Amino acid sequence: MVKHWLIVAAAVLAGAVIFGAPTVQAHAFLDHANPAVGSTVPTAPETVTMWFTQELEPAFTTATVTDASGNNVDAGPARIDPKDPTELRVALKKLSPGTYTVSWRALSVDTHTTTGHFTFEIKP
Amino acid sequence: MAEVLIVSRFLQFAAVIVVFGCGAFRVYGLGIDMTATAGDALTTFDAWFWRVAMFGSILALLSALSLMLATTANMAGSASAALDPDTISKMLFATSFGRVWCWHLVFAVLALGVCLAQRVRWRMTAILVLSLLLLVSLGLVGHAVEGQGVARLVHQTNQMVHLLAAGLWLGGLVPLAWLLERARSASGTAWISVAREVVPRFSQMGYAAVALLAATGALNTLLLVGSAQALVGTPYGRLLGLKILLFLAMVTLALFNRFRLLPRLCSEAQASAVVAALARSVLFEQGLGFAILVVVSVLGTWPPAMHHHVG
Repeated sequence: MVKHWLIVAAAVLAGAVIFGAPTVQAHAFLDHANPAVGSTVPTAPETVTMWFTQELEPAFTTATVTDASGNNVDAGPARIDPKDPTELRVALKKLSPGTYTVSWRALSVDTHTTTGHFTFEIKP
Repeated sequence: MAEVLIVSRFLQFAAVIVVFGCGAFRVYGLGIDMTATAGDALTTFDAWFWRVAMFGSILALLSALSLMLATTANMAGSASAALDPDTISKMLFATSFGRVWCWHLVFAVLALGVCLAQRVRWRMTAILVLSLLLLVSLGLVGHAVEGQGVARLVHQTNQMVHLLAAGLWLGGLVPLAWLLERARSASGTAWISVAREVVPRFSQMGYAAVALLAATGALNTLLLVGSAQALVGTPYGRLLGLKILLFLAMVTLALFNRFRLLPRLCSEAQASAVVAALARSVLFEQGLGFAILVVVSVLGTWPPAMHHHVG
């Protein structure tokens, strides 16, 4: 009985070491965005889309977009794609050339929150 | 707020693990092949067990409630949100943590109800099942929900088995210490006879629990840390390293008890000195176990991987 348990434990350990295991990343960090972080785009985008490293909780995840004067330019609350809960999307009003700041507060399914911001620029 | 989360998590883990561990001990340690002497022991144990279960259930419910409030404040980003009914209900019904926690709270209330229902025949089975559900549901929240699809399922299952094994071993040390203290302090040899019967059973269970803890703990480490560099190079990794060291210290002590003290307990006619040594050793082992729970309570609030890449 005891020997069997030890053999099973050793086999699991050996298996895990040999085949490795994908590292799971806790907390939802921003993976990439469109428009990309710090990028300059030739035309005004209609939405900002962000992809995170974890699935997000819609109830407590928010994002806003502001212009250089600090005025809100998003056209409603941020929405999480039901098919891909790592994707957060904010619709935008019609934007003119300038620099815009995207601020987000993400709650991942493991109950941890992260906050951050980035800018993008629309060419004159 | 982090302090409230950590303290609530510790109390929650400790309460649920102790109630489950004591209930399971009643089954594998005392439930089978009891002699007439041990029949008296069973009655005494049950009286003690229900006091522990009552205290544990109250603590489990209170810490589950404070964890609910602290998590709400954490999710909303403000301490005052913990007292806002709308935010609490959004947390409970619109997040994956909340949906698990609703059930967890139900199990905690039922466990307390079972402890209060003194005349119900099946209450030992009920408290065992409820404490098992309380323990298992802790594996469905926190870091185990990371990843997607099969990876998440594997992580959650692994975490549930890890918690059950922890409940069996660490929780089981509490009634074991109680029994040894009885054997040490009671006049006559009746309780020493019970200890001679029960301690080897605990030891058998211990082998299985430790093997499971090691295997599931290793898989958890791989999933949450991934590499030896991350184990020494990140705060989370280093704290996990401390947990592993405490676990190894517990195993060393358990092996000493098993191979040095247990044979003497079973063979020596005058076993009172051995019983006292074993009781001390088990208490120390328990202390290490609760230190692990403190570490685990902090770990749950830290990010396992420290990479932060933006692109």
